[in-house]
Amino acid sequence: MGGFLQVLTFVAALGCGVAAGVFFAFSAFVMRGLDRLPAEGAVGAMQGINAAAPAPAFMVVLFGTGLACGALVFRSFFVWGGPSAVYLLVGGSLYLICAIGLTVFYHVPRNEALGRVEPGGAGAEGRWSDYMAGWTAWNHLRFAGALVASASLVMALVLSVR
Amino acid sequence: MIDNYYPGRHKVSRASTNIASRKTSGPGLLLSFVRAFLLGGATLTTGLVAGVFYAYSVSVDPGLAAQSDASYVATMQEINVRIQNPLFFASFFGAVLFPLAALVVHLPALRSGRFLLISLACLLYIGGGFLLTALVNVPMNDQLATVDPGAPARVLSQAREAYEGPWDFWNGVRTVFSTLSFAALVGACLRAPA
Repeated sequence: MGGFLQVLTFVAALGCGVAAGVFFAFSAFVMRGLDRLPAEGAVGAMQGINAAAPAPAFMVVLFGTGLACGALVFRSFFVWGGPSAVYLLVGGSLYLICAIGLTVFYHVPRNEALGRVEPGGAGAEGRWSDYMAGWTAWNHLRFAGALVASASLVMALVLSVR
Repeated sequence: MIDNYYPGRHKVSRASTNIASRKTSGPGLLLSFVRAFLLGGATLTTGLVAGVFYAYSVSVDPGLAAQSDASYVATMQEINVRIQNPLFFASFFGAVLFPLAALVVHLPALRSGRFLLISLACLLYIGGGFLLTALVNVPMNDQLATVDPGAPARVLSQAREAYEGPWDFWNGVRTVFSTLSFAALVGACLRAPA
């Protein structure tokens, strides 16, 4: 079980790091790039991006890592008092709250609302700037949470082999 | 986790053994701090860059595939301008400099598994992430930047034809190499420092 838990932690640490990089891309430049387009282009491009996101290649990483993190949080209570437990709990919870929680309860509903906006229609510009501001601000938190989660899980691994 | 391997061992006694075994002199402590800092920085920056490339592969590239030629060209141009900012450069160049610096401070442990894994990570990212980007993706971006998004349809369609397929392919390649480099660095963290 120890070996299995370590493999799971390793995989989750990689998943958190890659997910952090995905959120980082949107926080650092993708949204800013779209924002420089006319509203019609920005809304159209973001609708395309949101339509592509549910493909298995991304879902496996995002939610597969979520499942692994859930298992690590659960498992952390069984190794409580051991050197890695706190890092497993913190890393797993941070990813679940920031990456999964925000995605499901904040970003996806707003993506769905944006999907109903007519890119060239009246009001697209106002809808885009509202969407862009809130979406990006909360995306910074997805990025930070996933990055700290990855670091925390790596720390759990380091302490488990020391 | 280690508790599973040594179930009979008492927690307090293990903690005190750890402290005793880690007790090092001033310069030794500084070296182990610098090693941990550089290897940690290498791991996080490489993970971020791998994720950025992965974001193109699973999100941006397929998301823009259905856009018109004019919209595709304009969007990629804006993204290619905006990616040139201090935050992204800190990770993109950090993923070269941190692993190289980590390699240097581990030179005394030339035969360790950790040194081997950091070397592997440097090769994978510098070759398959950094140089590939500099020699393939960036020149393609520069070429695309010369296209006027208001140009006639035939010109836009040719520009996109020359860019989208090869760019997406090479982005997939650099995603794989950077992710492997990231995995090697996490592996290096798990190996003893010397």
